[in-house]
Amino acid sequence: MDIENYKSDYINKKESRLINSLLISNEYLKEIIASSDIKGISYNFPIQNLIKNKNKRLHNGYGLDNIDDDQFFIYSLNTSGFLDWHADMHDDITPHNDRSVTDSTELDQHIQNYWDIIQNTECQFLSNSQHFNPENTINVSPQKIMKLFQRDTVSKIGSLLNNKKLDLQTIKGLLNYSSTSWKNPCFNYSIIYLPEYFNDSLLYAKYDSTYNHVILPIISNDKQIAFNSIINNLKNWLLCLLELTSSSNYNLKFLRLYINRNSDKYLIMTLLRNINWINGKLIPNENNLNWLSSPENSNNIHNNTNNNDNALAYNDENFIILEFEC
Amino acid sequence: MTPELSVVNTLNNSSRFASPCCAAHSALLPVRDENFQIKNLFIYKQPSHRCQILQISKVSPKPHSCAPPPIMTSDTLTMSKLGQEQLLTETLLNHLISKDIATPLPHDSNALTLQSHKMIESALTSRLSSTESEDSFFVCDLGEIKRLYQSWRIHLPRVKPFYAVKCNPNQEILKTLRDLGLGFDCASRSEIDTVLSLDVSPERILYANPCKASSFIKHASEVGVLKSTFDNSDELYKIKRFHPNSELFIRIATDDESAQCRLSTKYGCHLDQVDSLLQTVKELELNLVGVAFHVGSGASDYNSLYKAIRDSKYVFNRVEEMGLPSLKVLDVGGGFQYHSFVQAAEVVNYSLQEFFPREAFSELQVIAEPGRYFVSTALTLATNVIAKRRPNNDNTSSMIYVNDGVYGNLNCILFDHQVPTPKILFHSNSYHYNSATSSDHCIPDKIENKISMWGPTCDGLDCIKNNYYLKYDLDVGDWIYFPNLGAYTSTAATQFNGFQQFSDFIYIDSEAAYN
Ligand SMILES: Cc1ncc(COP(=O)(O)O)c(C=O)c1O
Repeated sequence: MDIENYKSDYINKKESRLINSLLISNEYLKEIIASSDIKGISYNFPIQNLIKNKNKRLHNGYGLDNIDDDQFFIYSLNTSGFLDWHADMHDDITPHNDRSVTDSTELDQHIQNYWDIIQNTECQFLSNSQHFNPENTINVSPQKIMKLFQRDTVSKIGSLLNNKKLDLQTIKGLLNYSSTSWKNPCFNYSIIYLPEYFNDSLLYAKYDSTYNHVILPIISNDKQIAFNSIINNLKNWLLCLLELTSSSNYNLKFLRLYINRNSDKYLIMTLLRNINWINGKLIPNENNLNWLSSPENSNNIHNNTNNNDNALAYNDENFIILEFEC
Repeated sequence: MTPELSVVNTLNNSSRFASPCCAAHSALLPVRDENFQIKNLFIYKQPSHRCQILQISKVSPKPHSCAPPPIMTSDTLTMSKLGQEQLLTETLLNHLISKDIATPLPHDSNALTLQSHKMIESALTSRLSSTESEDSFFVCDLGEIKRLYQSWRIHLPRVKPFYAVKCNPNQEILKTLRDLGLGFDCASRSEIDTVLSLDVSPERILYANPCKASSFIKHASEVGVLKSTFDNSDELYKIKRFHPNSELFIRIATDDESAQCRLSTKYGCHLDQVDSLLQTVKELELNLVGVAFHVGSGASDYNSLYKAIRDSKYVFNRVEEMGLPSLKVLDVGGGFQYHSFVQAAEVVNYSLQEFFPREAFSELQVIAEPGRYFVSTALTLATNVIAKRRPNNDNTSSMIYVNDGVYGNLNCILFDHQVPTPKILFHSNSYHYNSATSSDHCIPDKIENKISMWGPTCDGLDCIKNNYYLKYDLDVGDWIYFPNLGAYTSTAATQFNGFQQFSDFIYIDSEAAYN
């Protein structure tokens, strides 16, 4: 099995577990999902929640006053009569921080969910380095690559969190940091569930203080996703993402939309042709600029290894990236 | 001896428009001869070069001219009666072309336009000879924009244009249009901010984004932009909440079968939704002032314009019947194309007269949202050949890489279905501007070098041209130009990883130079 297939299996497995654990196994949410008034659900968390011990979080300078907990948001008609995102404060889905931290199985479950979301997000940028540089990783199996990837992700997130030297000032600075790039881990991750348009496929997102990077699932005719509904409802789901990104909880300036190139070509072209008038801007992939200046190296320049391990390569070339002002 | 001819519209004959889609194979040709400056002479060119003179707005002598007698003088023009069909011979057409009075537009040999090729050429060549820079750049003729505005006023005297900023938000272009008195159609908060920063008052702005998040509406309220379109009740509730004083235009959907960008017309409500939206307007006590539509860009079937104006009248009537205050404005949208402008304008005028006759609607303001009409022919893009590959390792075809592409100034290929025509500007130490035969995508036997052309990224999307033929076998360092590339092009200035796609502009003003 090549890395792409392996990766997609990996994502799908985690995704089913996430949907089950976060959405379906919760009676309250199950009811919400069944209700036609609810157009979308998003679940987000700051990576500080990965630290199990509340005291340790405080100790590390993550003053809880400054940090949002994980939260569900619901997209539905508000009292003013239009569709809007609002935090759902129902008892059954309140964040674990407010509960006794001694409820350790539940806490473990939460932590497992966080990691699944982070890995499913970051793993989309994992590229098949063999494709670009056959000699480099010829002997590394997909299983091995995924293991390395997991380790790499944990260490990147860990180094953001565990830096004991961070004082509150630095933390605040970091929380305000903004990166246009998909490359960096972010301080917040989320999943967005819009069953009306994307069926049971999740949208993964990460954000900092300016950009919300949202990854659309692969959209193709043979998948279960309602293909026509995505094209015909472009305005509705895009508006939903714009509202989420600019909502008071996020308050971000830009939405970056990542459309997988393995999606149906017709869909991609249709999206591109429509997006101009609703203010979408096409963003070049990061690694493929100026490649012609060294054509003989063009096989290598896609490799963007961030760690010592040559087997791992991350890039954004799986995606067509569009940016929207919010 | 200054023959002054007044504006005469010979097409006031409404019987011509029993079917408004009749206008085919026709073109707009403003002509200047060499002794006289003749502005706004429009010739209706029909198959087999039969031309009909439609309008002459002004003929005046050009001072200090000692040029040889022109082939087409003001005398010959005044002699041929307005509205009369006249055979414009192949020779005369060729003469006009060779004298740089007229040029066939690419891909449409029926369309002719006057552009200041001498000035464009000189701007292109002096740039290339004065700098080593390989960056692509635009030559922008602000005079062309002024001429287009004159044509607009002649052909659509009842309609005030609100330029669609999205089409090309270049500041010099915006300033030129501002000084001509146009309004602006903005689709985002940054477009609004750009236009306001040019000292345009908010009353001259129409906010026509079809996909408005609450934050957009709040921003419009903060900066005092009142006019905006809507097509669904959700938007009305948002407007009620965040910007209740808005002056609203209900946007209706149009029939867009023939439009180049069909989905741009997906927006808009259908007529059967009008009543419920009007009801919501009434309940929320909002200020509805007009009806808007957009038939889509590049529509060739003028029936959609006619039908949209008819449908707008239906909405005007429903407003009266439902006891809402009478509407004051009709917005006929954008989509006007240079080479079919005269026909589209005729259809608009005719339809306005049928559904909103001046006599009964003397107070009605008619506005439009043209984008491409004002800028397409005003810009020429020059770009450098940065690499060449022979995929088959022989001379049969080559892949030419230039330093601009769909992620830069050629994003109109993806976003707007445009098919730009690359032409050779500089090869083998000589310039080839405006050579009719330097490229041709249909006569491979005459033009030898088969190429595909690519932008500077290694992305499959970044394809500018496939299966194309050029007269010369280009080398790295040669220059290509794309005529008529003003619409939906220089919008993608993207800062990314230290790489910035600057849109570099050289401005000329052929009108100022001529006058
Ligand atoms: C609502 C609206 N108005 C105006 C325009 C401008 O169109 P054009 O540049 O074809 O005139 C567009 C283009 O998509 C549009 O969607």
